Amino acid sequence: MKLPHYNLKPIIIIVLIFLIPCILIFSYHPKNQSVSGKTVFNTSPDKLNCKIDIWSWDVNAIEALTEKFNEKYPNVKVNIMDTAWADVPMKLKAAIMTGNNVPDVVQVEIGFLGDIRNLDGLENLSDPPYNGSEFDGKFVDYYEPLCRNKDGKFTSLPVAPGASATFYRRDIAKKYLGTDDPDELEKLLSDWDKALEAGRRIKEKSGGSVALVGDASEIYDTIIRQMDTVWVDKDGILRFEDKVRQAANMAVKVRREGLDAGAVAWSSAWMDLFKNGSTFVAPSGTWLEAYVIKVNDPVGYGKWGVISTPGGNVNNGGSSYAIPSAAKQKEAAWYWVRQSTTDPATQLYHFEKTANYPALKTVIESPVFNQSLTYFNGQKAWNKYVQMIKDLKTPPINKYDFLASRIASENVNRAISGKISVDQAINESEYQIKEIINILERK
Amino acid sequence: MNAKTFNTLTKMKDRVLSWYTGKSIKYKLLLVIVSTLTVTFLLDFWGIFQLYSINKDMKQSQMKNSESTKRLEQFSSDINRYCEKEKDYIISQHKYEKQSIEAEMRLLLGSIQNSWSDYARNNRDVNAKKYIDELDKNWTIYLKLDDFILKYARNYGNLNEMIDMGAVFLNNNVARGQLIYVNSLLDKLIEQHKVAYENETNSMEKKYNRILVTIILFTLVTFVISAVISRMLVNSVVGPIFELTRLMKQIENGNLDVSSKITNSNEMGMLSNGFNHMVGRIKDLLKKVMQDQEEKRLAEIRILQHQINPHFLYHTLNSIRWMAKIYKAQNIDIMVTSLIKLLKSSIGSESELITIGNEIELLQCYFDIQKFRFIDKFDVEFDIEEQIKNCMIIRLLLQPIVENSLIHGIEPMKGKGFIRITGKRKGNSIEFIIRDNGLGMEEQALLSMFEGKVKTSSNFSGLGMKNVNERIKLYFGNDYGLTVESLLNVGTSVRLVIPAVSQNEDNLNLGRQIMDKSV
Repeated sequence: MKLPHYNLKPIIIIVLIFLIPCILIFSYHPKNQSVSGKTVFNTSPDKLNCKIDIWSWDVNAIEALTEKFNEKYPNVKVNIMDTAWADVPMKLKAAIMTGNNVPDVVQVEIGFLGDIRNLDGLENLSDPPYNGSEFDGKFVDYYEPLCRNKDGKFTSLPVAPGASATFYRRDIAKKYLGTDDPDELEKLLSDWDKALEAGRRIKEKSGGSVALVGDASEIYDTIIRQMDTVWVDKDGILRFEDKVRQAANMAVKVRREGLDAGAVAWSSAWMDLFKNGSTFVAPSGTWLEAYVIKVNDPVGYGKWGVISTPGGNVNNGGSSYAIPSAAKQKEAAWYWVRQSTTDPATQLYHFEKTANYPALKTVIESPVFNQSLTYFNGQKAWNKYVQMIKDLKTPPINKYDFLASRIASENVNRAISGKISVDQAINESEYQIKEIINILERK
Repeated sequence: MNAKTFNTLTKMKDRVLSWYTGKSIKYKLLLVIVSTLTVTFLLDFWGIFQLYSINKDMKQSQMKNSESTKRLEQFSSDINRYCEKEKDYIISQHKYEKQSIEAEMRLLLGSIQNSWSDYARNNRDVNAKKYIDELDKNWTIYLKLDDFILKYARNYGNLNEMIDMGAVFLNNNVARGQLIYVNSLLDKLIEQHKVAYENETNSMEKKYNRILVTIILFTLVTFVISAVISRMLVNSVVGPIFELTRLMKQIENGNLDVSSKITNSNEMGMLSNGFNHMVGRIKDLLKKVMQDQEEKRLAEIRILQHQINPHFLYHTLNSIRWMAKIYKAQNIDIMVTSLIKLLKSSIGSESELITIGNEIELLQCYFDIQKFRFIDKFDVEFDIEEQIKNCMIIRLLLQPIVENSLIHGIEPMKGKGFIRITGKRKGNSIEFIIRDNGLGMEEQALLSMFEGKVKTSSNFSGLGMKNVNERIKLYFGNDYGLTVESLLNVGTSVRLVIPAVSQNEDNLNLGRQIMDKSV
């Protein structure tokens, strides 16, 4: 039997006509766009054309730094996002967690460094492509270690360290203590007992119209800093009872003896004290000169002097710049941070404009810091800062230290005001700190 | 189904069948294709309609989703208001609002967790759960902080006093930071919610569009392919039929030099082959007929040529007759005269039919000659009615029968033979009976005689008898013919029936008459 012979050509054509659209339709896939991270920063300054977001509470400082930055990088626009210094940690954590609203640069206050410097989600600035390790040892000795994580890598670069300094009224010193010479006064006020003694003399001689300090809590804060120990150790055990008791007792004594003006620190009444000259000293940080004294007493030329803080010089404040890993313009951000923290001219300009003390060693050695200042009656105040900063030791900082210290000082304030005893303040602080840490750690 | 419906259905079926049977192949093919196409199109339209309705459902769910997103956003902006506007205070100060916010947050977290698990499953978004867990965790932390601060504020008297005392760190930093964190997560969730839903909607829309395009494309392709196939079908089936029809018409018009060029291997090819074969056969047959005619014509020419010889033969025979007369040899005279008559009758005449009288005369001549051969061996008796002598008979029809009787019946027998020939009119027919008293035949021989088989006994010619019978039937129809009765050693009787045709009726009429009868 002969099998029927089929003509295959039309069948093949039909199959092809069906197959071609099928293949076209089902082979379509949206293209995947790959984003490759840049491992080398080599864009030339004028070619860099972008916008970077900077979180900072110090808008003036950022503006000054950007002014210098744009001389070299004219096409990088800096968007300053005014962010309260205390909001930075949680906002930054939220940004890192969600990837939303991530800044390119974030300014970090020293109080939060203990929490933030080991945060995952910040760029390691020591290694490539940043190569920040080339700046090892270039920053003031005591501050540089604070900017390193537990592996010793930079997670931020210091822009403005804060050293403690005690400002005094020359007129009061001369009138009640017989001298306004800084060196002599430094000897006279070498520790807090001596300072209190001087305060008693002033109070006595002035008939109570002139006080040693504005608020007794200033003395408490300073003594606490001088204790130089952790608040909460790495195992979460509270270690502050002794030093708080010591410092609080001293502050309470000042208040009980009426050696302070009784103003709440940072209140407007306290600010007014700088105008009317009714307090002798302000134990604070070097930054007080620009941020408080000159603001409240702009015409006080020759009235002011600066000495080392009774009981020794310690750190007081300071900040550094970090770059989150999720930042979009890391290259431009790095150039901005690098220039702002390591370029001597920029650092100097920054200091001149904002009185933020430079972190770069080469800058503080410059002659600018060796000049006599008329505001300080010819005293080389800035040189004094340099000397003080050189002596500073790196303070130990742990994650919950700032929290513990702030809670404790609020309770001590109540003890100073006589609402509770120092023991109560310590007990309540202990209870609060434990509870809050437990809540935050979800224990 | 009752009988009536069944009947109606059967009727309808019959009607449809009869209607369908009457249609042309082309029509049928078109019917099949069109119905197939219609079904395909209906299916396509059904698919498109389904897609359309699904798309509508999708849009509804999209609207629902955008409402829930709006609610989330509203809530987020509420929280944000507390974070931004009330910079120095925590929500604790607004206990009533806090409670409503807390209730709203719990509700949202629940609903997000439910709906999100669906999204996370559908979108394989591992971050989704992470954000929900983180939000849940940190919202709980915030609530605990808030509770703790409120509880602790009692040590100061109340919260306001606490704040007045400058105890703002827990409020302004810890709780606020926590709330900022929570709000960021909430924003992220909203964004994810939107993105996930948009992605899903987009991918679904893309999918649906793709299906839609596919259906439309396939519909078009089906249409085109159907059109092509239809054309191919019609061409492959109807085309050859048209071609064959055209060729057939040419053949009808007498043009046999046609051949179908269809070489398909299917039924059409077979038809075409058959057609070509048939045309070839017809051509061959026609050729053969023409050849035969040519041969017949040639034979006629030959006969004409041979007619010269009978004349020569007549003259010679006449000379012999005259010589016999001169020499008074009467027997030779009689023989030659009879021979001449016989010759004249068998060769010279043009007409097939002669009168019975003439036929009898010729028979007499034959007997005259045979008598010289078989001297006193037989006697002949004629009994012919006078009235039939003018009727017509096929020339030399009786002679082979008489010859058979003489040669096979009488010659081999001992003693004197007798042949009696009677001719009578019976109605419209004329009956001849030729009876002899010869040897007769066996029954077997009698049966085989008409089949043309011969040789039962020596020299018996069945062929002659069969020839006579056939000639009668051919000429006058099947109603006529001859029958033979024979008994061994007794004799044979041959009965011959022909129609009574008078002399003046011409051959044409006769022919027509005969034709009518034979039909």
